[in-house]
Amino acid sequence: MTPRSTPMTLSTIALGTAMVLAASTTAVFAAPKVGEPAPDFAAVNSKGEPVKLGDFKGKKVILEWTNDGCPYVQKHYSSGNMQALQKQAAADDVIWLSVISSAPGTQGHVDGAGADELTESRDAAPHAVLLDEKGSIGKLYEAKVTPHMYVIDEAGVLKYMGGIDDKPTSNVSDIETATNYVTNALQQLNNGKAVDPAVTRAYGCSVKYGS
Amino acid sequence: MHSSCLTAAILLLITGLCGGGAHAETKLVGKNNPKVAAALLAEVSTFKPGQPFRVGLHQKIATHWHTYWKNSGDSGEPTRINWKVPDGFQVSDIDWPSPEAIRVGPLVNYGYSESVLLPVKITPPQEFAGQAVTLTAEASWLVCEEICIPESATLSIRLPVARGENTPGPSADAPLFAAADRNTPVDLNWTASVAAVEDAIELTVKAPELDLDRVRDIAFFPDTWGMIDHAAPQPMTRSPQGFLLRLTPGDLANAGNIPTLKGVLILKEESGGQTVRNSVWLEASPIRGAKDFGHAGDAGEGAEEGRAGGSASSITSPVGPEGIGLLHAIAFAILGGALLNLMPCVLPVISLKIMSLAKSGNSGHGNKTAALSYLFGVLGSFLLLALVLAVMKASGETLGWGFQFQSPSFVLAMAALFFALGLSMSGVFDIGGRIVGFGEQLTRRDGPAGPFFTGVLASVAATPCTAPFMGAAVGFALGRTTVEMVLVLLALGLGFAAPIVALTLFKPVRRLLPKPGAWMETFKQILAFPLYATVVWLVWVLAQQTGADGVLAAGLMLIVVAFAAWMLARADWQSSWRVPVACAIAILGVATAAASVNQPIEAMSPTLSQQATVTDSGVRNVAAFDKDMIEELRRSGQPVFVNFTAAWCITCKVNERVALSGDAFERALRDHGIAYVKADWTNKDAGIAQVLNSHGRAGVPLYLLYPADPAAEPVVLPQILTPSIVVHRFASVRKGSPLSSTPR
Repeated sequence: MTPRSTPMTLSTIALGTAMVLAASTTAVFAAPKVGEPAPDFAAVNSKGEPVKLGDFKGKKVILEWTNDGCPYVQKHYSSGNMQALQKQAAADDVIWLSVISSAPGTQGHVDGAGADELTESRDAAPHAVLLDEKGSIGKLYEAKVTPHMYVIDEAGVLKYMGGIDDKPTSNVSDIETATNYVTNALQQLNNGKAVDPAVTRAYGCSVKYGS
Repeated sequence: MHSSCLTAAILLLITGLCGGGAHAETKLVGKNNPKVAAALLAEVSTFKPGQPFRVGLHQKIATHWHTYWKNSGDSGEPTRINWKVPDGFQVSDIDWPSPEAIRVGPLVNYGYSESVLLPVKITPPQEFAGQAVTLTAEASWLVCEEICIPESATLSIRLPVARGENTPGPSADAPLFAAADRNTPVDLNWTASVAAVEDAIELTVKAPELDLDRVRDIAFFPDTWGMIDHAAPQPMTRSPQGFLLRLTPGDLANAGNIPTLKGVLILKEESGGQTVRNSVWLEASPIRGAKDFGHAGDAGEGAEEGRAGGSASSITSPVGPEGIGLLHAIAFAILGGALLNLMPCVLPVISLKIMSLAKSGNSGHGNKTAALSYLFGVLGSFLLLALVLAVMKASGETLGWGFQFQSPSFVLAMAALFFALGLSMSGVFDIGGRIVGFGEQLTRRDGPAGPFFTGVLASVAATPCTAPFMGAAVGFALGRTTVEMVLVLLALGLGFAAPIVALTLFKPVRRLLPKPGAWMETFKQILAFPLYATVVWLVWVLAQQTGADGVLAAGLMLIVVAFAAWMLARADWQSSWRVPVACAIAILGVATAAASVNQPIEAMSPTLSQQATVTDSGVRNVAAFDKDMIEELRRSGQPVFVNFTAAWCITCKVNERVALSGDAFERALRDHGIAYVKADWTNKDAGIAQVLNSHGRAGVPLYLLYPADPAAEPVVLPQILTPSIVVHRFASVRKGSPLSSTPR
């Protein structure tokens, strides 16, 4: 008679656990929403200096999640696509922050010197590279893949989050025909238009969080 | 990246050819060691112009690595195939097998591990004139463990055209296609809907036949990105006719838009001590704002909620019937109970009561004792029902409202009761008599017994019926604790009793009743017909449960009841010996019939010779389960395949859909001369339970293939069937059985 009641109890426990989990995930992930203020963060850049999102009020900010071992990141660096975007941003006084959330021992994890060396060797031009080996900024922004892109306007409001473009492959040859969503968002912001699309599927390798 | 992969491959080749290599090269080879071994396979060995066939990309994936489904989840990329085929050949999209959820830290991806076959359908042109065709697939995929590697391959397969009239035969790889089919979502036509509730998306699935007690896990996999948060838990709650999953909106749904959700429901079902994974295709249309609570629990409501939702705007609460709380459920129960008075099975009984009240008119008989007695009669019945439900639930039974109807004896007894009531209302015998006329008696006596039993009778009459609002309340109650269940059922009884109690207690209310007169007799006679309709329905239910013999028993019983009624009609009520005799006859008739329908199937099944004849004339016959018949068939030299199944077992249904139907199955039955017997365990059946037991099973599915040799033990087929398993086992029983040595 009892065997049937045991799974019921188990499922109750499972449900309870699931609810607790749901609650805890919500607590950790205050889901970033387009149209709402981008979550502020305090981080350390590759030079060991503190960086806060609030430092850049009045300027547009771009967040780029990156991992140099990921083929999708390599697609955009080996082609020079990412560097071109970074240089354009610098020219337009847009703050470009590359974020590395790989946990120690995982693909893409670097120390400050390693990050600078990558910037140097790839001829990249971010305003700064943020070291986030605990994944706290990544989880704050729910960054899922590399590259995962976020565009924040002068008022600190999140305007775009998602993929870098609309061709979710690792083929360099697809870059030429793709629509770049970051460029698109910046243009629409400059023209005073609503960003569309404002949310897309970010494609790439999973961010190598520690847990 | 592709070029570097290619370089690595070439280097690997050179290294291999030269039998050694520099250190740097070895390292490179190790790093670029492909994680997927891909092959292009065909299900057939030849093909015919114009006849579609299947080919598929087979990926053998390194341990702990994954490739991806069409929605790869939080990261990853689905496998892509670019086909190069001759002009006129059509290639379908990939028929994606169901994925698994792959956790990567806080993320969830959807994909495959170990191996997967991605089939497509190729339709060759009718006018194809060549001897053979070469199909080429340029396939590219991402394979990830912790890290991700894009891989690609160009693969070709050459298939000759079938010669002459021969139908194209299966290839050696056909079983891989069958296995992929087993893991491809099946459309069971479950109705589903989605609604935005607070900050969640509620996916409601109607699957009345699903036994949730057997389900260990349910997960929904949307087929496009952005609709739901892939990594969020999906808590499940039961609903009256199925279940509800609470999903967390994805990034696109955050923008306040809930489109139609399409995807795969993956259910892990407990089946004979083993957990079986099944996948069901689901399309859930959105409901904007409102839902029609009233019909949520009604049986047989087939309208698609997506469409129905638009019109049902009168109720504005955004909460579904499944999401109701205890107070809501109690409110619904009271309302549903009151409405239950209007249902066709109850209305005649209640009408009698009302008419008797109307007759008593203003004579002042409406008193507290009568009202309370009636109330206690109803509440007592509902309390008893709640307790029975609680006890049975605790013992592991799966119950719903009207569970008693699973018992053929109960159905039969109800048919007799309703028939007798109908006859009395038609005027065959006097309803004022003491047999069923508690309602009338009540007004003649001030004692509490009369109204108490009217309450019991009305409650009994109410059991086959469901009123609006009731489904939601009862569905809620059955899924909760005993205390909550008792509360809700008592509320139902309270609502049910309320109108009559009000009529009995309050003279002003009673004045609302129409004036008594000759019309009452006509009205009473008309009311007999809904009762007869109820009898017909009950006999129909009985026919489902017991077959033709049950109907025969019911028919005979009804004649006995009619006879008893006729005797009563002629009886001098006060003194005649006829009264007890008539009652005895009626009771004996019902008891005999009830006992006969409850007997094990052996005693009731059609004769063996009849069944055997059917079997000889057409092999594809689905006969009902009967042990003796199986023995008889085997003695006559025919192997028998028995499918132990039940309507509430998804694994059984999926197996029947995938492997136990269709041309291949029927051909296999025909070719090997096998009789097909279905043992339906939807209702309890001691005979079937015994066979299950003897094979160490507590439940269905069980597939037994009895060789023709009566001495041989049956072959047990796996619980998860594919067409090829069935066909192979059928072929082996033919070869392996000593049939050839048995003279026919």
